[in-house]
Amino acid sequence: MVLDKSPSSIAVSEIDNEVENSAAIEISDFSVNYHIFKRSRKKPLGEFENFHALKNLEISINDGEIVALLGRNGAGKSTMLRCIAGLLRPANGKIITRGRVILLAGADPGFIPQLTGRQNVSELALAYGISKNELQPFIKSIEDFADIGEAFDRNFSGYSSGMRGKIGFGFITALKPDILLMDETLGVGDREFRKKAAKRLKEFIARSGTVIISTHSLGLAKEICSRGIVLDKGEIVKDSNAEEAISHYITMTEGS
Amino acid sequence: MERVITSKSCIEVGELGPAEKKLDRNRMKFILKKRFRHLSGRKRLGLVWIVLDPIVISLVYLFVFTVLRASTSVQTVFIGITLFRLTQNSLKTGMNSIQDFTGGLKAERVRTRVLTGSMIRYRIIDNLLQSLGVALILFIGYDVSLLGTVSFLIISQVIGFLSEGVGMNLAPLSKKIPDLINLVNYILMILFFAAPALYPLSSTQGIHYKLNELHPFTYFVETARYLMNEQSEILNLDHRIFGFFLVVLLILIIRGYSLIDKLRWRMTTWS
Repeated sequence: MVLDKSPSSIAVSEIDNEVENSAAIEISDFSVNYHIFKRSRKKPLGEFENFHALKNLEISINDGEIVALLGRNGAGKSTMLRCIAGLLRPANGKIITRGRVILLAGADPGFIPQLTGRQNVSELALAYGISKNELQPFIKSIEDFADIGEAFDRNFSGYSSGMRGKIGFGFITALKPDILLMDETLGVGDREFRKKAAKRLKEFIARSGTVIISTHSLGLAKEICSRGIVLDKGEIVKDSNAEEAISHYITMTEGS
Repeated sequence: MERVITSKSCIEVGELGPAEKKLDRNRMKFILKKRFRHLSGRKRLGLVWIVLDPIVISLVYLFVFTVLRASTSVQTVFIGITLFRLTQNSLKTGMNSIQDFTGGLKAERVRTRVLTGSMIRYRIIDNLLQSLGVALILFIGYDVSLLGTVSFLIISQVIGFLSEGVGMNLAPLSKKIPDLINLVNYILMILFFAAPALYPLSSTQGIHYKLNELHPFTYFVETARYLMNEQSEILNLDHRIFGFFLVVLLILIIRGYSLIDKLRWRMTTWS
């Protein structure tokens, strides 16, 4: 998938050349601006202001790499992941991704409140590409993982946030992406569930091709990532192996 | 401060001290500000709409009571109101079409063709559902011909799509200036009474008649009434005007659907 200013303008010759390259994700001269409505006493009718969330990023991530994306809150990590997932428009530059991209941000793949947990999983499974043959085992695996008992057949609108998180996390980690983008998603459920979820997450990561994990958990980053990218105020300040990147991030945040 | 919580009540015992009174005043200010902020939202005129609203509504009803004439046939009203509601709902659906481009699937990008296809299917089904009940009532209960009934269903589809096309073209502007939504609501409200929805065009006269000649809805509703053997002015209207409107509306619907990909992309960074 080529993301340019206009997503439907794809140059065929560019694609042919790029296919030969082994990079799963290529980001070149990439910037993102948000247009935010602001009203003030001086401007009572309000106006849209530009906020530069990402500035001139240049990154290439090879197939199979597991990358930790580090940075303070507001550094641009979520913005970068959403751009790679094709959910946010750049102001300029280009991103090329090769393979199916799934973004794990929060634990809601699109649940419908009026349906039961089981119905939700069933309908969404088909929408996310699970075949009819695989459907029943897929639903069973999520039911077993979430472990919410008979609540699985109750209306989703009556679930607690923990229950929703369990089903959502179980659902998304049962998919098979080529490129997995994770945005801080391990805060759901009770302690027992979080242990289970951490194990499932590692299996999910091992099954996926290329992974980018935005995380504040440096232990997780050190354990599973081979490379680290540190963002600060929308710019890359460090791109190296995971240990060096983590050290840089610690130094950067210790000063503040 | 002691609080007593029972199954019947939750009350605080004793008198409020100055610190607690100050906290309560601050909380009241916060809640009040929050409510007004929610009302004004991103609308350019903000709270001014609260002042304008009763004035405009009063003007609308003033028109209703001075202009609206005597009763008309049941069929005329059914046809008019159904087509008007369809127009109204389709227009609003079109204007809201850029609110969510994920299609409800949050973990993975959905191709635009999926969104476009689902929008078209939704429009067809929605148009049919909105018009089918009335079509059946008129066919079974009021001896309207089969041709007339089928024509009504076709006209419903056409007017639904064309109205949605208008809405889709207004959508980007309404995202930047949400005040437009208020304006459109007022215009629709006026049109409901001014356009020949509740009565046939022949009930109007003078400038009211002339203005309705310049309104595309008139041609659709009068055509439907004619085909269902109801009182209709369609044969007396200038068909060149109708042709012009049709071309413009067709261009708008084609433009609306062709812009979904571009708009969808552009709107992701607007808040």
